Formats: sequence, C-alpha cells, structure tokens
Amino acid sequence: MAITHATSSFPLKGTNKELEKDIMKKKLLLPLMLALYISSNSVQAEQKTATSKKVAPGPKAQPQTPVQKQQPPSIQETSAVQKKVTLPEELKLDPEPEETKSIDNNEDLPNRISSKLSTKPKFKNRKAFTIDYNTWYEVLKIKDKTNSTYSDSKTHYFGVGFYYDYTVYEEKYGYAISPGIVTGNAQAGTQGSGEYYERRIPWLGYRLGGRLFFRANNRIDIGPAFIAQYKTTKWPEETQYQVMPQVNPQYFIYLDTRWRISYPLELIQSFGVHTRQYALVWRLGINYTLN
Amino acid sequence: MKTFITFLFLANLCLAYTDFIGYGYSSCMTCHYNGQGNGPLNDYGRGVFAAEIISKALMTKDIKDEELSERSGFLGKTPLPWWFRPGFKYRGLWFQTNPGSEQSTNRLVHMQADATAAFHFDQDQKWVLVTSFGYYPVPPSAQSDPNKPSSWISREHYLRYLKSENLTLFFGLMDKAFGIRTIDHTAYSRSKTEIAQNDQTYGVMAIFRKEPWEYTTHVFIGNFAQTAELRQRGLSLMAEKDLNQYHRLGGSFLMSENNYKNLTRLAGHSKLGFGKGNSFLTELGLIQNKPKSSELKNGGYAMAQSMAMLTRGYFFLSQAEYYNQTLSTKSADNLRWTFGLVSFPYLKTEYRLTLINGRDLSDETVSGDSWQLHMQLHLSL
Repeated sequence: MAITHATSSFPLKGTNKELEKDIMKKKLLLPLMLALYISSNSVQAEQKTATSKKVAPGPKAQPQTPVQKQQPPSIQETSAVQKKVTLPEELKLDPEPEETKSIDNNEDLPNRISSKLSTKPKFKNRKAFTIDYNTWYEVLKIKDKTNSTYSDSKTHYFGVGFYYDYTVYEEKYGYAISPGIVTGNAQAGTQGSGEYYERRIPWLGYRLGGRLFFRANNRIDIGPAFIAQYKTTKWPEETQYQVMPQVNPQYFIYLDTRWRISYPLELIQSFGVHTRQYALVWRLGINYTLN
Repeated sequence: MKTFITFLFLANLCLAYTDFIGYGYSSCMTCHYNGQGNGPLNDYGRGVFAAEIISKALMTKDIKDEELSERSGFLGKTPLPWWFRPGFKYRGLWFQTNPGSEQSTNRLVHMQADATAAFHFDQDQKWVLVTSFGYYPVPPSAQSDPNKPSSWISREHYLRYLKSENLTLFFGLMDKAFGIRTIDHTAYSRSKTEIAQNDQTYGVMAIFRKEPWEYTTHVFIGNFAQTAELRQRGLSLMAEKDLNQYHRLGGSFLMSENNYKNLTRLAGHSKLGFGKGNSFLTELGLIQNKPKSSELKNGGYAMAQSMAMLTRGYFFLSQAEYYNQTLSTKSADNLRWTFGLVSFPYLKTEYRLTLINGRDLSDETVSGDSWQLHMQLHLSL
C-alpha cells in the first residue's frame, strides 16, 4: 500500500493487533518492518530544513527597539542530516507520495514540488480560466464619398476577454495555448472636428493565443506571447463617409508576465504591439487554475 | 573629488521599500526611524538591506552576508558614537519624453540630495531626533519667478518618542500618514492626493501597535515654509492589519483645509509578498477636492505595483495606474504603465531603468500614447 505522507510511521499495514498477529505468525518479517520504519523517518528528515542563522543587524548594532526585535533578518542554512537505508525494491516506500500543501511563503507551489522521491513526468500542466482587460489603438481607413479621398482615423479599442488556458511547463521553461473570446467598445476620431467621429461602438472578437515562458522563479513567468484575432466592429455608416475597417486576422506580439500570488491565482500583466500599428497593447488579467 | 567619489562608492546603501514585504518585512518601523517609512534607515534596516537585498555579483565570491551587514554603517565598519547616526541620500533622474519622436526632450533632474542625522538621547532609543537638510530642484516654470522657492529644504525634522512597546509618538515635520508610500512620487496615488515628495507638514503622529493591528493618527498644521493661508491643517488616520507575515491590509482617511480649499481622501491598500522577494502592492482611493470658490470634484485612483525578483538584487518592476479627475465621462481616464528594471547592484547604489507609457482615454477624442524613458541613480550613505 502507499504511504500517503512522509510523516506516516510504523505500523504500516492494518491495526496494531493485526500486525502483532502477523509478526507472531511470520517472525521473519520483523527485521524488514524495522528497516521500513527507519526508512520512513529518513524521508521525514529529508523534507525538513534545519538551523537558521541570524545576521548581525548593522555595524556595531545598537540596542534594538521593541519593534526592531520582531523580525530579524535570517539566512537559511540547510543542513539536512539523514540516514539512508537501502531496502529491497519490493519494500520501498511508494515512489510518489502525496504532495503536501505548503504554507511557507518561500516554498514552491504544491504542484511544483520536485520531491526527491518523485518519479513524475518532467512536464506538468495547468488548466485555467482567464479574464483580462485589453486596450490598443488601430488605424481605420475612411473614404470621403463626396470627393473619393481616403484618410486615416485613429481608433481606440478596449474590452474584456475570457479564455481557456492550457499550460505545459517544467522546472525552468514552459509553453501555453489560450483560445478565447473578447468583446468591448471602440471609438474613432475627434468630436467637433468635422471628421468621422463615433464612440462606444460594440465589437466582438475571437482569439487564439500562445506563449513561451521562462520561469524566473517559482512565482514568476516571463516570455513572449502571440495572439491572432478575428473581430467584427459595427462601425455606423454615415452619408459622407465610408468606413473600411482592418482586415482579419490581426496579430499581437506581447511580453507576457505571470505573477502567481497564490496557487490558483495568477496575475497577468502583458504589453506588446499590434503588428500593423506598433502601438502599445495592454493586457491586465487574472488566471484562475482549475486543476 | 576623486576621494569623495571613492568614498561614495565604498559606503553603504540606506533605503528600503514597501515592496520588501516580499522578504517578510511588513512594518516600516522595523527598518526606518519614521514608523510610516521614508527618511533614514536605522541600524537594523541598514543591516537587513546589505545582508539580504543587494546583489553580491560584483563582490568577491566568499563575502558573507554578515560582513555586508557590518559594513552597512555610514563609515562602513568604523563604529560611530551610539548617539549619532548620519546619512546622505542622492537621487538623480535622466529622462527622455517620447523617445524617437521629433518632439522628444531630455532632462536631468537632481531630485534629492539630502544630508540626514539622527541623534539618540538614550541607548534604548526612546528619544530620537531625526533631521534632514538638502537640495530642492526648483521647477523650470518657477525659475524666473522673483518669489521662487529656495533650492534648499528640510524635508523632515522630528522628535520620536517610544512611549511604550506599543505606542510611538512623533513631533515635528514629516510626511502625512496616508496610503502606501511608494518611492515614485509622481504616482497618481501620491501626486493626485497631494502627498508627494515636498508635501511634508508639521504635526504630531502617534502609532499604536497591537498585533496584528497597527493604528496611526496624524494631526498636522501645515508646513511653515509656506505662507499661512496655504498651509493645509487637518488630520489623517490609518489602520493596518497583518493577515500574516507576508500580507498586510490597510485603510486611510485624510481631511484637511486651508484658506482656499478642503481636501478629503479615502483609500484602501494591500501589501502582499509572495515567494521570496516578490511583492504585489495595490491601492484604491477616492479624492475629493472642494475649492472654496468653485464646485466640488470627486476623483479616484488605483495603483497596482508588482516587483519580481529575477535574481538577488535585481527586480522586474511593473506598475499600472488609473486616475480620473471626476470619476465620470466628463474627464479622461488616465492610464499609466511603468515597467522596467530595479536593481541594487552594489552596497550603496540603486539603478532603475523604466519605460512609462501614458494613455488618456476620453469620449471626445482618440489621442496617442505618451512615452517616457527614465534612468535613475540613487546613492546612499
């Protein structure tokens, strides 16, 4: 049977009474059980860090105020002393114990713990739901019907996106794909200028995004991202102007950053360019892990 | 001159930010003389900064954190009398507006060059006098004004009294207690609330701590460097609660007036550390300005600042901000995003390289973005 936690200790199977019966009946098993018990303690030691050492606070430190005493700086020095016992293969602990949920802020996140005992595949995955805020500029072609001339009108798009995010990662690197839907408002031109001017025009878009990332540390991912977008905007036609929106699809290139503030919750802060305008695209959002 | 520069480069850094909650330091008073942060560091803060925050990449491989901590004093390892702690702080900024465009401009600003001194009246530091005096960059618009302000300023001088383990009192000139004291004084949370780098005031501040709570009351009567009718008199209140060592929630309220306008501010904030060295600070606030001769304005702002430790001493900074002067479509939504590198490459230095993108969204027009490239050098003794 699997030992579900490293702190599990002897006896390993059934109740004490049952075990005693077993021992009475099969005395030869006793040395093996003893070895197994030592082994479980060894695993326990492996997961602990030991003494911490304090740094002297400053030069010829003054007497500390009561407040100053509360949070001394510390340097963690690990000196995990452990005793390894080699057991026959059939008596070894479950090679994949249940991962403990850490509450230590500085430890890795639960599904990222790389236990020395683990033989899990190198790659792991996360399935998540994403909601984000987007803003960017686009250029709209406007045809003046009266004299058949063309002009550019600057438009601003902003909206909210909803995505499914599938991430595959290993210790230092990873990649993700992210299909989704995005909707919002757009506006164009300047009021009172005599040019084409519209505001709060609804638009709807479909997106497929992907990203590669480097895990700067166990809470931060940074890397390039790409989004292809197909969108429709209901620009009103005016008697004088004919609107010629940008053709689909459109592409965005981002520098994408992810900040895991807790296990399920990730902040997204991405900025990049719309490849046709080179105007800055902002993307702020939250990624909620489902698995 | 060469000796002076060498001296600067051999001495130690003294600064600490709210972002260091990512190291478990949630209370400003742990590292600063001022219980709400800003101003000079105490010995403990200097030690923490040298031993835990700065990069060791440019140092010898075998250097120990303990040694860095010992070298964090004004004169390095040389001890000073217990009653005296001097300091020096320089912050310089070179910036370029709209890089690459024809309208691009460059400017160098010496934002701060302050000498500070803390005098301890007893070895337990029950009574401490903290003073500063330094350079004030007069804005270009005021350079030709015959009544232009002096280029020299004292940003703080106050007496600190540790009444008990729970209660600390401050008397004198200091920053108003309100919200998160981010070092970026141009952030909306500081500039629009009028709690920026030169908005100190005389008053009495009391900080009462009872775990997990910290309460601050600040009663102030304005800055005597201003004429009497301009001095803002009022009070501010702040309460913060530690949810754990890495997460502090807080709320602030400020109300003040002078002969021309009444100010009311209300804000909530969160300081969160996650993973070693990473932090996420947020503040959400309301701003009410009520000029005595015109109509009231209710504005609002939001700030989210995150800092990620790339490696020891090097951080990626991302700060998103929002401000609307009237919280309606009558005024533009001002968005600003600052991102870049914050680094502490050696004992006494901080270097920042950031890009700032500004975006104003209004119903009347679609205007383009504004950009600024900032390079900052901070030196501290």
